[in-house]
Order: sequence, then structure tokens, then C-alpha cells
Amino acid sequence: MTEVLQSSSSHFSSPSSTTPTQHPLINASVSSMVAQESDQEDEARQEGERKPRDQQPPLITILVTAFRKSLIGCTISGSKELCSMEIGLPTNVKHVSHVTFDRFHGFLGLPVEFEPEVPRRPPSASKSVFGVSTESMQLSFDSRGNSVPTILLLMQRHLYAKGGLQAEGIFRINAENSHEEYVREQLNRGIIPDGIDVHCLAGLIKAWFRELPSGVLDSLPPELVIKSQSEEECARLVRLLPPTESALLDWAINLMADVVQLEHLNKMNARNIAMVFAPNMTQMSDPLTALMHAVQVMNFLKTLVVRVLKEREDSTVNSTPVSLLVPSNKNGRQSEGEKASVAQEPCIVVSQVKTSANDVQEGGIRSTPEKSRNGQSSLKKGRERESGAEQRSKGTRIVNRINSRDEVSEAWR
Amino acid sequence: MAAPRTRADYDYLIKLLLIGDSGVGKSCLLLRFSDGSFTTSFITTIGIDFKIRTIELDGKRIKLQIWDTAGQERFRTITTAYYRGAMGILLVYDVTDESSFNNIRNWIRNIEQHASDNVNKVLVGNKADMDESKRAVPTSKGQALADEYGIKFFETSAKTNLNVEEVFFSIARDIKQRLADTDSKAEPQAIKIGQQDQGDGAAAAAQKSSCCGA
Repeated sequence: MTEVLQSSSSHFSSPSSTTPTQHPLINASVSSMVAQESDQEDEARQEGERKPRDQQPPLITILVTAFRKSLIGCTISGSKELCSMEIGLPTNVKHVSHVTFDRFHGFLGLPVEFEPEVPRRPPSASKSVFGVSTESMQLSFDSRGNSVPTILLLMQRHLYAKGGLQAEGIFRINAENSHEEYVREQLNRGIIPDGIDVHCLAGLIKAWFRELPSGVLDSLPPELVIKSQSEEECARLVRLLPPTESALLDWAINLMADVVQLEHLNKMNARNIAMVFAPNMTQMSDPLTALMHAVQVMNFLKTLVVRVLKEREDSTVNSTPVSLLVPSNKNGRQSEGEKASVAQEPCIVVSQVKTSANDVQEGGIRSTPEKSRNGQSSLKKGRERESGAEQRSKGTRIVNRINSRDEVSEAWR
Repeated sequence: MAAPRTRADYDYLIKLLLIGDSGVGKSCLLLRFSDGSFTTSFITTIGIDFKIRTIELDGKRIKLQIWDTAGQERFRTITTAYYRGAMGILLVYDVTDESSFNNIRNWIRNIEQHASDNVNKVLVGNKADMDESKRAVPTSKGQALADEYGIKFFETSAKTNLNVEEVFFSIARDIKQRLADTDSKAEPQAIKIGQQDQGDGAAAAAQKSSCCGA
């Protein structure tokens, strides 16, 4: 019906611009599907030159007036060719929509049915797990309600299950390069090899942060990081982070706190763990600036770790939850604390280590005050409970929510 | 670079570099050698650090400037920048950690890439005081690797001060020897010019021509 004869981006608002020698053919632009009848003036001229065609239904006349402004002029370069093609004039046309195109955003205003079949967003569960933006990765909630990439939780779980927290120099000691490369390759393929060394897991967690397209703390101005000395100042700084980064940092800080809680075994105090993490949290092109900045970041991380440890201590000593800055973390802190203390027990199975906050299995190990506290803290609990319940029912499974759509799937297993 | 004699406090300045995986005891070795102390607490090195100790060897005062590098992966780009000026490199592993030993090959590759070609190397298996049950790398394996690369090998303990002085003295002696050799190679020319000035005919002329021909 609408033949595309010539696409022209210029709209002729004045019908007089159409020279009489030209066939005032209707132009349907590729995208907009506009094939607009000329207005009456034009129509009259056309009639004089060509055969009249007044069979259009009244609808068209209405449309004509309605879309007078988007009237399309026409330019015909080879009228003879056109004649030989014997293409009739379009009839029964109407304006559907106005579409623009630019090379950054593609088509704007394009109706769904005309959308070109171009792959758009990367799949939510990216197979590659290193050096990939979190936006393209499968995410899960940790026990604190942080939405972090599933791969991190998975590595954390394996690390804890294998007694990584008790290993001397955990996160400091390098794994064997070849082993680490092998494991990384397997993880990138979505396979978790057996018998991964704890130092390899720890190293890969650090590598994961190091290889992010941009550092977790990159959005914080270095001068603010230097200035922030007290726990409050550092906590305030954390709130400046975008949600994804904030969740990642919170996860990492709690992981570090778990390590420091077993300092008597692993010899990693807050400074040490902060030191080995710090250079992986920012990216700077100039190595020397990076080095100097790493010291500031180390202090920043150390302060945050110490703060979390204090909060954990407070929550064990004092069974009434104090209204803290981040009350929603209450549950999570609890669970982290439990996790760490569980890890101290010589023989605890994976599921126990992993299943978190509201885990009934741990009733025997942990004392009741914690249970009651869990009961008292209410914020974010719905979600936590939900995930807790899922985890319980599915053993070591993790609840996956991809892009806030609830999706339960078994990740990396 | 070599033997600046204008300074009164030393005859040679030797730059050494400690490299190896993190936690193998590089900083502890350095602390033991420079301060004679040992700490069981963990100190993770940030980037790079250096200490100085002047020793006397064969009647020469040798100032050792020892650079301690961070084993942390992230710092590698920084630490490799320091390879260039190093005259000697101590490759350290932990005898109780097989990975650190297996990674020595990577470190050597790293040296080949970034350090001067003639840099002296020595392989050091630290924590040799540890109980045999904890040992993961037998002495023979360490020796075999050192032989493969044609470098010297020591097992040390920063904790009990086993072989620490020996390692540093050994590499310092080798480097001093190398520097002395290159000095003596350079020296005949200096003498030669002097001789020429004195008008010592044929020999000097012959030497000169051969020198120019080369």
C-alpha cells in the first residue's frame, strides 16, 4: 500500500514549493510510515496535471487536515523511470508515528512491531564472571539483603565451608598462579571445579573486585576519603555510593569482619585485611597515585571493618537492638556473626555455614538471645525471611533475583 | 651505578630487591637483616619499602639498599617498575607453602621481562625453622630449581636468624665481584689513555686501533 519511493527528511510546509513539473508523489518515509495526501491546493494542481483521484474515503480528508503540518513534499528525479515502474499512488494512508534515529539511541518512537531484531541488553546471567560489570551478571541477595553477584556469594560459601576463615594469612597468601588461572577459567565457563584451594578462592574474590570495569570506590572523591577519619565520617561517605557499589562494599566489609573475628587463627587483623583489599577497590591509571590512594582506602576500609565489628559485639553483649544508622542490617550482622562463629566450630557442614540469619539449624549452636533479637529486628525482615526460608528449603541454594524480578533458580550448581 | 668513590661512607652501593609471593617472609627477612629483629605479627607491605645496611666485605664498605616489594598482585605494576635498577634480586618462597615455590617460575619470568639482563639472582626458601611436618618443599627441590636457573640457593629462617646474613652477604659478594670485573674491564682504558699521554708507543697504539676497530 505504501510504497517507499523516496525518503526525505525535509518536510515541505509550503505546497508551492512543489514544482509543477514534478510528480507530487506521496512520500512515505521509512520509519514513520507517513504517506500524506497533499493539501487541497496541491490536490488541485495535481488534478490539473494528472488524472484526478478523489475516491478517498472521508477519513482521509480528516486526516489530511489533521496532519497538514507533516505534509510531505516530493521530489522525483526520474519521472520516466517511475512511469515505467507503473507504481500507483498510495491510497488509504495514515500517519502512524513519528520516528527519529540517532546513532547513540537508535530508533526513537518506533512501534514495537517494527523494532529491528538486534540483541539489546546482555543476558542477565552472564557466563563470564570476571572483568564484567555487575549489571550484566546474575545477582543474588546475601544474608544482609545486599544484592551482589552470585559468583561472589558462591566463592564466599566455598571459602567458609573449606575453613578459609581459619587459614593463616587468608586473603593475603597467593594461590598458585596456574591453579588460580584454571579455576578462573572454569568459573568463567560456569563450572565450579572440585578441590579449590582456599587461598585461590580468596585470591579470586580479590581479583573479581580488581577486574571490575570500574573500582567499587571510584565514585568517591579521593580528597573525601582522605578527610574521613572517624567511623561516622566513613559511614557517611559510604552513603554517597551508588546502590550497586554500596551493596558490594557492605558485602566486602562484612567478609573482612568475618576474617578479623578469627584473627587469632588467621593472623589477619583489620589493618591487614583492609590492606590487601584496598588496592583492589579503586582503579587509578597512575601506579604511584594508586599506591598513595591505596593507603587512604586502606584506612577507610579498616575503619569500616572496625565499626562493623563493634556493632557485632554490641549486638552480642546487649540483646536489645539499639537503633543504629542502618537498622536493616541488624539481621545481617547477626547472621554474619553467626557465620563466623559457626566457622570456628571444627566440623560444620556447608549448609549450616551458609544458611543464614533465621536458620533453625543453628538453634543448637547459637544461644537464644540472638534468636530473640532476630525476632525483634523488623526492618527488611520480610525479604530476609523470605530468602532465609528459601535457603532452608533448598539447602545450599541461593535465591536469585535478577533485575528485581523474582526468579528462583539454582545458580552455579 | 657502580662504585662511586667520591663518597666517603661506602665503596659500593648495591641495590637489592626482595620478591616473591605475599606472606613468604620478605619483610621479615629484611627486618632481621637490617634491624636484627623478628615479629610474628603480620605486616603486609604497601607497595614498596626499603632499608639500608652497610656491610664490610673483603675490606670494602658496601652499602646495601634493599627494596622490599609487596607480594600483593595489585602492586605488581608498581613493583616491576623497581626491577630495572636492581643489581641483585632475592627470590623468596616459603618452604611450608608449595604454591609460593611453584610461583617462583613466574617471578623469574617477571624478572626476565623487567629487570636488567645481568642482574644477580638468588633463590631463598624461607621459614626453614618450621617443623618438618609442615614443610611442603624439600630442600632438594629448592636446590634443583636453583640449579636449573644456575643461581645460588639458601634455606633461611628470619625467625631463628638462620642463613639470613649468608644470603645477603653472598649476593652482595657476587655483585661486588661483577662490579669489580666491569670496573677492571673499564680500567685498562683509563690506564691506557694515561699511558698514551706518557707517550708509550706501539702497545698503546695497537690497543687503541683495536679499540676503535671494535
